[in-house]
This record gives sequence, C-alpha cells and structure tokens, in this order.
Amino acid sequence: MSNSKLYKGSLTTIILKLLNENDKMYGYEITQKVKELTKGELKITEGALYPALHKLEAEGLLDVEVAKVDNRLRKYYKLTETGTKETVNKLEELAEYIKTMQALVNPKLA
Amino acid sequence: MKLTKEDIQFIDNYLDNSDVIYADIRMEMVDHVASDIESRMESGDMRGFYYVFKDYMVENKAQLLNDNKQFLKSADKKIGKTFLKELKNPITPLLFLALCIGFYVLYQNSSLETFRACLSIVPLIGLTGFILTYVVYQGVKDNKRFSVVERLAFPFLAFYQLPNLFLIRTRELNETSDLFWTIGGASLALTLMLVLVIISVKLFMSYESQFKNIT
Repeated sequence: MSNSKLYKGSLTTIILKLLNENDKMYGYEITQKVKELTKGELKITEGALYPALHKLEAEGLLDVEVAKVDNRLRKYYKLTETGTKETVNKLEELAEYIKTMQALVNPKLA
Repeated sequence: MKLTKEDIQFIDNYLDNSDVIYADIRMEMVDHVASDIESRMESGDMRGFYYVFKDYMVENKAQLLNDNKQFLKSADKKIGKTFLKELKNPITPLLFLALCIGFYVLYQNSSLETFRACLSIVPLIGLTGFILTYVVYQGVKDNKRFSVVERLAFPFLAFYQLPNLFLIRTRELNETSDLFWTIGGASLALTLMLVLVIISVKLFMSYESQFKNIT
C-alpha cells in the first residue's frame, strides 16, 4: 500500500465502505476497486487485505460465502447486520478525523 | 481470458508444494493468483499461462508465503475470539457450577479411589470430544486440511495438561483447601474443554455454511 502508515488505520473502513456499496466482493476485486477509485494512488497488498478481512470476519462484521467461479472456488465477503451498523460508525469516525486533520493542517478550509 | 481447470490445478499444486497446506487458505490464494494472471493476460500479455505464472511468482512468491503465515495467525485469532465469546455465554459459568456440584456429590458418595479414578479421566473427556468431531469433519471433507480445524488441536493440548496441575493435590485430600482446589480445578479444566468442543462444532458448522453452495 502506498503511504502505508497514513492509510493503514483506515483499511478496515475502506473495506467496510466498499462492501456497503456492493452486495458481496472477493479479495482481488477489492484490491482492484480501490486501485480504480484512487486512480492507482492506493494499492492494497494481499498481505494487508486478507488479514483485515479475516479479522472483520472473526469479529462478526463480515459473513463469508464460497462459490465456484471460473473453474475455482471463490470466497465472497459481505456485511452482516452488525457490520452494516459498524460501517456507519467507522465512516463517522473517519469524517471526524479528516475534519480534525484539516483544522490542524489547513485551518482556512476547516 | 479465463484460466482452464488444468491451469487452476497447477497453481493449487504449486502452492501446496510451497507449504500452503491448508485447503481454505490455498483456495483464497489460488483465486487471487488466478485473477491477477487473468488480468495480465487480458491486458495483452499473450505469452501463455506458464510464462505469466512464472513472472507472477518471481514477483510475489515471497509475499505469498508470508501471507500464509498471516493467514495462520488469523486462524488462531479466530479460534481465540470464538472461545472468548463462548466463555462470556451465561451458560458457561452455570456449566462450571454444575460440574463443581457434580464432583462434590461424587466425592461425598464414593471412595477416595473411585473419586480419583473419575478425576483422572477428565482430560480424556475433552480430548475424545475433539478427536470425534475432528474425525467426523475430516471424513466429510475428503481428508482436506482446514486451518482453523487443525489449529484447534493446540488449545486442546494445552487444556489437556491443565488438570494435571490440580490432580496432584488429590494425593492426600486431607484439608478442605485441597478438596476445593481439586474440585475447582477439575471443573474448570472440564468446562474449558467442553467449551472448546462447543466452539469446534460451531467452527466446523461455519465452514459447512460457507461451502453450502458448492456441489
């Protein structure tokens, strides 16, 4: 992930937000979607993505479904009810964080 | 351009031979690698699967093997979290209390030898539960190895040793404190092992639910 230290803390929020907008997604699809949305600025490595997905799954925020696609098994992730609620909280937290950082870095825009 | 069944099998075998031994971890890696190779081929790399695969592995093999370790850590964390969640279940302290009462009643109504003999089989009860669930699951899943299922063995082995710490005190049982520690310890060990059996079944069932659409 580029600028990894700055983005690292927001990885779960990014995943939750994407899953909130899509019914279900698989790992590679998430990495490509992020790359596309950020025009290549943010590249999530599988080393960062999958542990985050598994952590969210263990916390009960994501549900998993395995399907056979293109001659192989594919693991899809989707939000649980708790995950949907947590997404709202996480996005609010992130918005608050951005606002605070803006007040610090560029007070005129805050 | 989609990869053929043989290409997918090749990736699966390659990862299996690279010590990515668990089917659930490999499944996700195979899909990731295959998706990336397909994307490269669709972007104009026309050299054929094996050349693109070789390039991919030169660039990413070290990362993939490191990911395997991360996946295993995730499996351990999943077990830990599920276990803690189950411990918070109100039934768990009730189970502990019921076992304490059961052992006390047994102590009151049987000889010391019988009481000791019963306590000595405590570790085996939990272990038998795990072995039975494990064997049944492996039978259902065609002997494929699954990370969470196999790594459940570590906490079972740890808890298997736990009763020994308390059973040492059964040698004399002269004082009330010895009886308290023996019954409390055996009940605690058995409770923890039964909770492990419960979460084993739950985790096995969650695998089943994930794979329910696969024929």
